[in-house]
Amino acid sequence: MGVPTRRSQDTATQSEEVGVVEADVDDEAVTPAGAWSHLVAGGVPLAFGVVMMLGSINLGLGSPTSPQPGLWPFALSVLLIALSIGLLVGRGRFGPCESFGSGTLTVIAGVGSIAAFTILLPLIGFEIPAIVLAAFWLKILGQESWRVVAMVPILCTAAFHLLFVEGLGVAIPHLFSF
Amino acid sequence: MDIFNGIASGFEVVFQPNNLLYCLIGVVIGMLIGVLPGLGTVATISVLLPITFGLPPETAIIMIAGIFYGAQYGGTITSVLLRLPGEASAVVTTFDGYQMARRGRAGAALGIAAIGSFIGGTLAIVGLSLLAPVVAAFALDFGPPEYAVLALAGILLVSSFGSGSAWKCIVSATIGLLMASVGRDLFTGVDRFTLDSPQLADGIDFAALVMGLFGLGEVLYDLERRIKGNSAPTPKVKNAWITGTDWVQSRMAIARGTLIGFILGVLPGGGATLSSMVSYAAEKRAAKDPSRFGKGAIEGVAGPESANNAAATSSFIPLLTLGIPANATMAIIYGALLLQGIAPGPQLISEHPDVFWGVIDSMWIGNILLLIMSIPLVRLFIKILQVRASIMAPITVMIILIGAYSVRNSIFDLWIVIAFGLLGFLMKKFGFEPGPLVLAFVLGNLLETSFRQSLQLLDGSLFGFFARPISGTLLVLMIAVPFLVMAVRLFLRKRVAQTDLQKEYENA
Repeated sequence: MGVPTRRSQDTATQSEEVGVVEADVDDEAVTPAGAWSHLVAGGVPLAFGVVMMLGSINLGLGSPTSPQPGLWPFALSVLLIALSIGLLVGRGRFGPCESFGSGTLTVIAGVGSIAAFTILLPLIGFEIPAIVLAAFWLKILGQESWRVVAMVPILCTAAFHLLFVEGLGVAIPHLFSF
Repeated sequence: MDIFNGIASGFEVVFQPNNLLYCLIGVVIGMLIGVLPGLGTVATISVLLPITFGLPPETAIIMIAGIFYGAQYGGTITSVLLRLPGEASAVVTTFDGYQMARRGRAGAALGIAAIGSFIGGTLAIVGLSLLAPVVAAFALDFGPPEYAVLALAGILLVSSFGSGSAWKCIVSATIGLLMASVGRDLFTGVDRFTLDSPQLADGIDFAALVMGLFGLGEVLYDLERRIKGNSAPTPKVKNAWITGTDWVQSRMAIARGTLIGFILGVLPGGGATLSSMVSYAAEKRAAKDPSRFGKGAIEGVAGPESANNAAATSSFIPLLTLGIPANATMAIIYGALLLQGIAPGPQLISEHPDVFWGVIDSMWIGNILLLIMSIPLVRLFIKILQVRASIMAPITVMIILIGAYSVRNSIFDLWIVIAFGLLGFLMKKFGFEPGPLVLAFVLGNLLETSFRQSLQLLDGSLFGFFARPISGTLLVLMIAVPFLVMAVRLFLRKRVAQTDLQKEYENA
């Protein structure tokens, strides 16, 4: 687990500027989303169920005593379709959905950076993408100080290199080894 | 006297230096993540799954189990000091624990929680040691119809009394079952839904699925809410210790909590969470002056903390004896065992006694280690509260990515992780629990195989399930238990301030 002592020292010096952010988050109730969200919550499983049902029929159904490969997924997709229609009809009677806010952009950026890491990994090894990924998450997504950004990515990547490449001998693409 | 031989042989396993070390690593990680913001138990175990593949099975499970019950201890610290329950089962502890801390009694709250957890945990191990072999012996006679019903019951019960809407939980479980059907059909050898990809011929990789759904999904979910950290001022704690009066006040609460936790923990679903709520309600009822509750009553910490630890321990019973995981963590342990080539079930005790007894006995050691850590070292763990989630998040992401790659050296698995990470995030946004999906995913093969075998056995008749004594009884129980749970919940709604509880829950 990373480098806890260094990080906590660092945190101690900055605790005032962060203040009681957590308390604010705690009090802030999750905003429920509008009616469209229940359409999505029911519609997407419905679409998945229909696709899987068609796929199952394609595989062949057979009979209960001599089933073909499609029978079991067919039964499940019929169940899923029925349940999803229930969700659509029930509109939010089955629990709330959360609205998407500005934070959603952060998530998209986060996923994009992970996808970039995955594309770069086989090309140039894990070290440089890992440092860039961590720096991006700390500075852009986490709004950490430059001091944290200067230390954590390099220390962590070095630790992972030692642990996975040198220690466990994992065959992950890497730049060098000792 | 087989049981005592078993217990003795288990200690031989535990006292191997390697196993002791991983037990220690497990409980320390558990305690840390219980305290640290962001990652929960299930997420952490998912993220660390690749590391366990290199270990012998008993060592791997000893470590995972340590993380699981260690987190129960750690979660208490944040509940008491910051009113931030790390786990749903620690929500109840915030009611009186936080109030005690505000009145300068944080040390007593943490002390009684540690002692209660220890007593609850260790007594439950005794119960587990005595009961598990009996259940396993009984289950040896089970045929495919019994297993089909058991697996179905496990999935349905987890859906019906986990947190969140039961309907959505069942949707999530059905999707999990469908995902389990991806890959080669075990009966006919035909590839199903593999999109002609050779990487999917063996099905969706379990480790990649849980690392995405629980690990990355949780990181993304936290990222969206921009939880920056826990730097709220922490109350001062001098010492986690209690007075004689505290002990006299809480000893009966600990005893009741342990019993409640042990019984409810065996049931699939939110055993630890439910039992801590029931214990709180029971203590409030038993108290001479119920108005003290919510204002720093020590029984309100002692009872629920004992209960959730006892429940965490007894939730191993269905997994180790029937091969039916009772919650999301057990589902991951189930998956980890399968990946090690061990099928959990009634034959586990005779075929792999080292795993069975080693894991059970390791809990004694783990609980002792936790007691040692949570009383004198409590101040050290409070320091860790200062680490912000914005720093933990990228480190977690890196562990997930490198770990997921290392399982099969496959870039394809990384894309699976990303896809399931997004799915996990969206599921949480739209109010679906990922837990039932994973549980159904791991039980999918067992359910399909036993269901198809049963249909052949019973000539295609669904009524045949009712005609067999064991499967029939289980079916009836399966229908009855959700009603029972509903009754308990209604009762709790009147007793405890349910609105607060529900609100805390959804945030947890």
